[in-house]
Amino acid sequence: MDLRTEAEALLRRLTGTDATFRAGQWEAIERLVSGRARVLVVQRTGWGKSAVYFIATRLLRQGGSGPTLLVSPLLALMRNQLEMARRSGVRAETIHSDNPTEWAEIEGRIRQDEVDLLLVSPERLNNLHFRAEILPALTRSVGLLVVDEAHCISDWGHDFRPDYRRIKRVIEVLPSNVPVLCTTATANDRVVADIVAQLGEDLLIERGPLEREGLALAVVQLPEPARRLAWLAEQLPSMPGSGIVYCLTVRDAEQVAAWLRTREVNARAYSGEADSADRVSIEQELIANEVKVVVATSALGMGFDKPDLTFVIHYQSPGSPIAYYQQVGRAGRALDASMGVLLAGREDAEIQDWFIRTAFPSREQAEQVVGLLEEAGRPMTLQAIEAAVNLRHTRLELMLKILEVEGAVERANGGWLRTLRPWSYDEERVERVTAARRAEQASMVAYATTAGCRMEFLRRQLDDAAASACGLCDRCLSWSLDVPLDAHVVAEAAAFLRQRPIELEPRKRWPGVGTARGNIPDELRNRRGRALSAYNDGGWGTVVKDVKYGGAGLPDDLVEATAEMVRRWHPDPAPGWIAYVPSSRHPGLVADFARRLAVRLALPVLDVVRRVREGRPQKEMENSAQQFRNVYGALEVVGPVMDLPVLLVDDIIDSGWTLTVIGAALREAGSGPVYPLVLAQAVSS
Amino acid sequence: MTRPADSELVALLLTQRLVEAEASPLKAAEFWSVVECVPDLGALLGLRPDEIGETAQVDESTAQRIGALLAAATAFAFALDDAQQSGLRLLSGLSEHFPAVMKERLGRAAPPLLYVFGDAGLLGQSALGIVGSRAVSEGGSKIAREAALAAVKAGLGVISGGAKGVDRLAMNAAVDAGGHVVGVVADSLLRTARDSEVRRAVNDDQLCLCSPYKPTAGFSVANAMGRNKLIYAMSTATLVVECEEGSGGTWAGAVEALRGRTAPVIAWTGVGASSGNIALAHRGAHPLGVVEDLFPLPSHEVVLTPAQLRLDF
Repeated sequence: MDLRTEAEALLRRLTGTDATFRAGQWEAIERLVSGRARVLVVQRTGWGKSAVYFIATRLLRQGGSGPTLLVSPLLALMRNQLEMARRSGVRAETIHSDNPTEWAEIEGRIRQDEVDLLLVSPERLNNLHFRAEILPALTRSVGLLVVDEAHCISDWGHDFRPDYRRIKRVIEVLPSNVPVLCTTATANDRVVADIVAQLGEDLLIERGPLEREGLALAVVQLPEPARRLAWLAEQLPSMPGSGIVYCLTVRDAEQVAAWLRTREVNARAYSGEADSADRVSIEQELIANEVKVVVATSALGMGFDKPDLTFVIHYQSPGSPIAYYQQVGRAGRALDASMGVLLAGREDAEIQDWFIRTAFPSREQAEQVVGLLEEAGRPMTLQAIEAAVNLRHTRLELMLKILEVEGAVERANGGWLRTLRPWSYDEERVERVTAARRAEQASMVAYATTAGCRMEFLRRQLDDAAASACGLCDRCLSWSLDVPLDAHVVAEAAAFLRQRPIELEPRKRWPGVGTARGNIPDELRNRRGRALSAYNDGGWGTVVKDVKYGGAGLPDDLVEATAEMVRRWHPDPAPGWIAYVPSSRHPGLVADFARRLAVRLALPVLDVVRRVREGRPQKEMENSAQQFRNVYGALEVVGPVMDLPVLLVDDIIDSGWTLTVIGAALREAGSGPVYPLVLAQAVSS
Repeated sequence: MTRPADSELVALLLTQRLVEAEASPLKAAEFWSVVECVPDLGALLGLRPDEIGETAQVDESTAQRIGALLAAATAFAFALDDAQQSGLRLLSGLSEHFPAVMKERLGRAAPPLLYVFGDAGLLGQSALGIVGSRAVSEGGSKIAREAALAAVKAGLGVISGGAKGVDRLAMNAAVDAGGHVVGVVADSLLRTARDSEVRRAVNDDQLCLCSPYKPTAGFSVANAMGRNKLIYAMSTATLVVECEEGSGGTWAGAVEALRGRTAPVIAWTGVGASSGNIALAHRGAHPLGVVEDLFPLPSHEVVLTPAQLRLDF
């Protein structure tokens, strides 16, 4: 049997049908198997990229090659794909953080050469155990290397990931006879050029058209969050089938889902913060049409495959047309008609700006961390680094990861170590990537306002040579979803945005700075508190922002809303008085708030907290230890307190250390239990 | 970074010890004889063992070994990337920075692979080798420093072994004087490189450390002797500052260099000279009575016999 006949037989086994190869599939397989060559496949999702690597794996293995290493961020997608691979006789396995009980067995089989294909995430490739134990056994004998979502390799990719830089470097030092397959559904010319530079000029590029038949695109300009919520509540019930609403932040996803549930829309929130079992079960509910809509962040990402998804709606605009194409393209893969709607909001730019600004560590911070490790000359723990630099825990971890791929630091037993490589902050790269993101952001605005065909616009952004008018979108057919909204629903949405008090969990441990170590004793610990809003949330949080930075006075309705929240909250035992944290930068603001609140709640207010030293704004302190140092000793309790439970009032809560420290001081001075009460919780907390 | 050529990658694959392949790496003599048959090693890629045997003129079992070593390409790519990320560089015998004078002098005994930390361009410079014992006398210390300074003034580099005593004194003096220094180390390349002073000198492009041994290798007498041979082979000429007759690495290394006529050996025979140095002069080392007489460095033809190629890498 010749190779092609054999490959076709495998395809039939794989698909369970009498399918034949699409144009390009066989050519890619042949180049990989017979030519040990390098292949880049740029094809839309559903084209059959996985058939290429499964069949190539099987044929290479028959010829005595080593196993295939498949690197993909899409572990979710792969659960059913691996099943499919096994049907076609490819012994496929995966090792990831959710199946640790299977690792030992899979490792054993890799050593016995009984695994044909191993799927891992790019992060796993950087795991020390994986690198030391599994990788050498797996790659003992040359096999196919597959890099899925290869656009992530490119600096120009809209979702460049640090872990992909290692893959890029490893490919650079592979001899030219190691077959490599890179696949992606979303790469424009610049990204393709970048990948070609890694793979070498001598490669086969399979690039197909990216049209999405039957997908009708539309844009509705609805700057106000309340109007967008109202639009969703009114439109979703009349849409057939089920779909996804994408948000930019976890908080928005949860808020939108909660709102929809109050409007009797069966909605679930989905984000990277949910644990993976929950995520899988939400995915499955959506696939089984048991839920009307999943309100998700981009964590519901590449590879989630529901062929009959009827609609994809964006509550906020993503940062780039390519990311948008990727997300909206999940709609209607196997349907004749589906819909993709972008609701452009006024906060989009601000959130995207934040993502762009925080994508890279600042020069000062990066140089500080590298310098610290260089001076140490031995491994330092994350905690030790954190105590020495002013960086939030998660930001520090991200920065170390970026510095690691840049070769400035490396993981070692006991923490992080400066490498021997010279390193300097790559300003040029940061500027280049930031400029590229700004340009993407601008073209997303252009997408929302284009007078031409929406789909054609997106395909041109992806340098699709065959881009042409789709004949379906709101521009092509002159239709609009900018329908009049029911004023009552808008008002209820606005009220909903304003009535979402946030529970504040008290801190339970001191930060481990100086003498402040260990658990905070029960009798000094704060009770659970409340924030009226999340800062700049479109509801009260936006009013708070205007008050704090717009110079306006506190409006009465804000004070009344807080009083109303306390009445509904019913802290038990009930507070008998009010204390407040004086602010030096906005003299009188919190005092005024506390006094007006006290009148409404009919409680006495005592001015017992004094600022004895100027701190820097707490929001400039990036981690717990630094924040604690900033407040510790800066404030103290003076004068007699009441031996009754107390509401401790502040304007904005960030780290929570200010309220923790003063709460403990009030208890020591003889006060009853302390309930923190603030107008808004900062976004970062 | 540009992609390394296939030939360079194959040269590394045949000799590397970063990852374990199914076969043992080629020894120096094996490697160089393959290179003589197949100057473009990339041609070995994708060949069956019988084709490898024919192309490289090796027996069946060696051909099998070469096939097995090349099969570790992916595993090695990951390990090589790790090493490069740590700041190490692997220099194959085919690399442009591989010191030509060493290859010329050692022939098939030249190590086929060097682990390098720092600017590999320093390896090829004309340089004075400076060696001597760890427990150096005060007078010896002075000679070591003065010789290093004189080399820098004469526009030459300094090559030494990175050990305590004479090695460190000479290297530090040369670095302080703005000179260019090569340290050939026998053990713990990684640990040595983490030293903050070493790092500073490397960052200023004044120091390059190299070793033919695994960067994590511990001390062994054999490795220390192999290191001495490289110092003599890389240096235009090598000055022995101080040694004890009949014992220690310095003595053994110098005697070996003289016997093999690897490269010119100079022995300090001036004020306070050690008994070992006087003995070396009797055995053919160029005597040196005052430091000013170091230059021009002596040179003589090098002839090697197979019996002299005993150390293997």
